[in-house]
Amino acid sequence: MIANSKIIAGIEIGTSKTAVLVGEIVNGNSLNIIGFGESHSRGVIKGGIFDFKQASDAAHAAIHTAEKQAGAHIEGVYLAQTGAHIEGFYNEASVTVSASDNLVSSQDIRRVCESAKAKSLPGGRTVIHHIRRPFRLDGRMVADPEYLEGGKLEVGYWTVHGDLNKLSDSIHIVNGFSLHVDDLILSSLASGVMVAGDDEMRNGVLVIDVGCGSTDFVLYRDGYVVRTGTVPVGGDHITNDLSLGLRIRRDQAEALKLRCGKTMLDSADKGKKIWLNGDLAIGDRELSQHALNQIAHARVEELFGLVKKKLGELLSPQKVAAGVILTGGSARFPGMAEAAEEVLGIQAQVGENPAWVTEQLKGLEYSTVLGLLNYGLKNENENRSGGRKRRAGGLFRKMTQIFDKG
Amino acid sequence: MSAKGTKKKKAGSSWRGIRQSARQVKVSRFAKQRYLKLVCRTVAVAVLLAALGGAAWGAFRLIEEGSKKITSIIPSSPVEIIEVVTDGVIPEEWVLNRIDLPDEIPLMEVDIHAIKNDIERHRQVRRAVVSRRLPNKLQIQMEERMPMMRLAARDTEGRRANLLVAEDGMVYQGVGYNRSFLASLPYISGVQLRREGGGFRRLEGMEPVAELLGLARSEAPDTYSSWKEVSCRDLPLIRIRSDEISEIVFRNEDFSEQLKRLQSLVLYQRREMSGIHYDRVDLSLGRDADVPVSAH
Repeated sequence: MIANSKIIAGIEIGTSKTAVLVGEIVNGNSLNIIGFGESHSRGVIKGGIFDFKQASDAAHAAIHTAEKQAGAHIEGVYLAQTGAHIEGFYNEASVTVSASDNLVSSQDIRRVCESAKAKSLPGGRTVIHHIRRPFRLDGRMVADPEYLEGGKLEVGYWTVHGDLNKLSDSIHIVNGFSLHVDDLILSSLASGVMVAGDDEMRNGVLVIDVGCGSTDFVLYRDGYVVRTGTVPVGGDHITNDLSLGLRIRRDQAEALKLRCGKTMLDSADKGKKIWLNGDLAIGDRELSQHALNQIAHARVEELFGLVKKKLGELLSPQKVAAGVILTGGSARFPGMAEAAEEVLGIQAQVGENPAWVTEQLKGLEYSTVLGLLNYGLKNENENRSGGRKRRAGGLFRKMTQIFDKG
Repeated sequence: MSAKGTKKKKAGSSWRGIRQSARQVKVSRFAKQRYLKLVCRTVAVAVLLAALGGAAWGAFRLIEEGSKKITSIIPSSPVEIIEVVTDGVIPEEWVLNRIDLPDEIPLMEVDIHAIKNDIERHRQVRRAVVSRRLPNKLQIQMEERMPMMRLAARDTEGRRANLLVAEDGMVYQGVGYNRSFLASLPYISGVQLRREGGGFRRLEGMEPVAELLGLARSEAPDTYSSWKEVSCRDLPLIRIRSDEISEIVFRNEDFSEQLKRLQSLVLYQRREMSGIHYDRVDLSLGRDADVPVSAH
C-alpha cells in the first residue's frame, strides 16, 4: 500500500528568533521531523510585527533553511501566535433539552454551542480559537451529552481573539513565501502540550511560556483549557533593565544575564563582584552581583505578578494541584522557578520537552514549535477520520513534488 | 492536544476570513527564489502534462483516422468486371449464367460464399475461390476435374444422358468439352450408378483405373486410342475392350510393366502374325500372358 504523506511546518515568529520545524505526517498518524531552520528575528517587538520586510527576510531565511534540510515542499503551515493584542473572554450558554423523553440530541448540542460562541467582538478583532469547556447536564459535568437524559444543557467557551491587522501581518509573512497557513495556534497552547502531561492537565496545571518579548500562559483543569493569556513582559525586558540599571550596553547586558544572572536574591551574593565582560581587557569592570540580582528579580516578580493578576481567583494551590511549569527560552534563567513559586504561591518547576525529541530540539525555546507540529498531526488525523477533504493536493501537486525529490 | 474542543467559527468572524492568496508579496530574496522555482516547476509539469495529453490525443486521432480510412476506402460501387479464371474448359458464359448477379449490384453486397457454394455444386468444379477486387471487380477462380471415362445412362424420365467419370470417381455432366475429346474417352461398364442429391454418388475404387488410363494415355497413346470400354466389374482386375483385342486384363500392380508387355505383344502380332487376331490378353498372370488367338 502506498503511504499517504503530507509535509507540514510549524513556524514561530518570535521577538528574538524565528524557528521553523518541518514534519512529514504519514497516513495521518505518525510524524517524522525532517527539517529545522532558525534565524534571528528582526522587525518584531513583543510578538508584534512593526517592520514587515525585515520580519519577512528573517522568517523566510528560516523557512528556506528548514525546507532545504527537509528536501521536501511544505504543503501547509501551523503558525504560532502571541503578543499583547491577544485577549480572551469566557461565555456560557444553556438550552432546555427539546426531546419529550429528555434525551439530549445532536441538535441540542449544536444549539447550545452556537449560543455560547455567539457573543460578538469589537470592531477590528477576530477569533483565533473557541476553546470549549466540558458540557454540564443538569449541573453534572459530562464529556459528551448526546443520548444522556437531562433537562438543562450548559456549555462555556473560552474565546481567544486578536487584532485583525496584526494577525493578517503574520499570516502574510508566510503567504509571502508562497505558503498557506492551515491554522493559527496560540503559543501557550502549543508549548503547553509539550511540557504538561495528561495527568497534570486533569489535576490542574499552569504552564507559563516565558519568551523574549512576551510571556504566554495557559491554565488547564479537568483536562480542559480554562484560561489563556499573554503579558507583554519577557526575558528581553530583563536585559533592558540591566542595561539601564547598570549603565552597560545592551549586548553586554544580555551576555551578563546569561553568564551571571539570577532572579532570586541571595544573601551570599552581597558584596560579591562580577566582571562585566570577564576578559580583563580594557573597558572590563567589576559590578555588584547583588545589584544584578535585584534588577532581574524585580522584573521577574513583576512578570509573575501580572500573570497572577490575570488569573485572579482561578489561581490557588487547590485548583492548580499539579503546580506551575515554566517553559520558553527565558525559563532557563537561574532562579525562575523559585521566583514563580514565591510570587504565585504555588510550587513551580522548569519543564522539559518529551523524551522522543532529539537533542538539538531539547531546549525549552523549541516547545512552541514542537507543539505546533503536534497540533498539525492531530489536525490531520481528525481530518482523515472525519473524511474532510484536504485543502489542496491531487495529481498536479503530487507531480510538482516529484521535482523536490533528490 | 489540550486545546480539546477547539472549534473554528465560520469565515468572517474567524481569522480564516483573512484572504491569504490576496497578499503574496515576495519581499525577501528567499521568497523570490522559491516563487521562481515554483513557477518553473509548475510550468514544467504543465508542459509535461500537455505533452502527455497531446501524445494521447495524437494516438487517439491516429487510431480513429486509421479506422476511418479503412472504412472510407470501401465505396459501395457496383460490380463492373467479373473475371473467370479456370484450369479447365468451363466457359465464362456458363459461370455468368449460373451466378446470375443482378445489374448494378454493389461489390460489397455480393455474397461471395453463396457463389462459391453454387459453383462447387456443379461436380465438374473441384474447387472455387470467389474474391472481391476493389473497387469494382469480382474474381472467380476454378479448379476443374479431369474426365477419364464416359458413361451412358438414362435419367429418371428415361432420357439418355452422357455422363463423365473423373479420376476420383465423381460422375458429372460435362460442360465445355469439345466433341473429339469426349469421343476419345473409353466408356466405363460394370458399375452401378446411385443417385445422390441432384446427381450421382461418387464411384468407389476408381483410383487404380485412373492410374492405368493416365499412364496409357501418356506412355502408350497408340494403344490407348484403341481402348473403347473399361469394365470395372471384377475389380481389382481391370478388363479393357479395344478395337484390336476383345479383352485385355490388367491386375492392380505395376501398370507400366503390364503396358510394356501389351505393347510387345501387339507389335509382335502386327509384325509376325499377320492375319492372326488376339481374342484375349490376360496380363494379370505375371510375366506369362494368357493369349488365345484366332485367325480371320
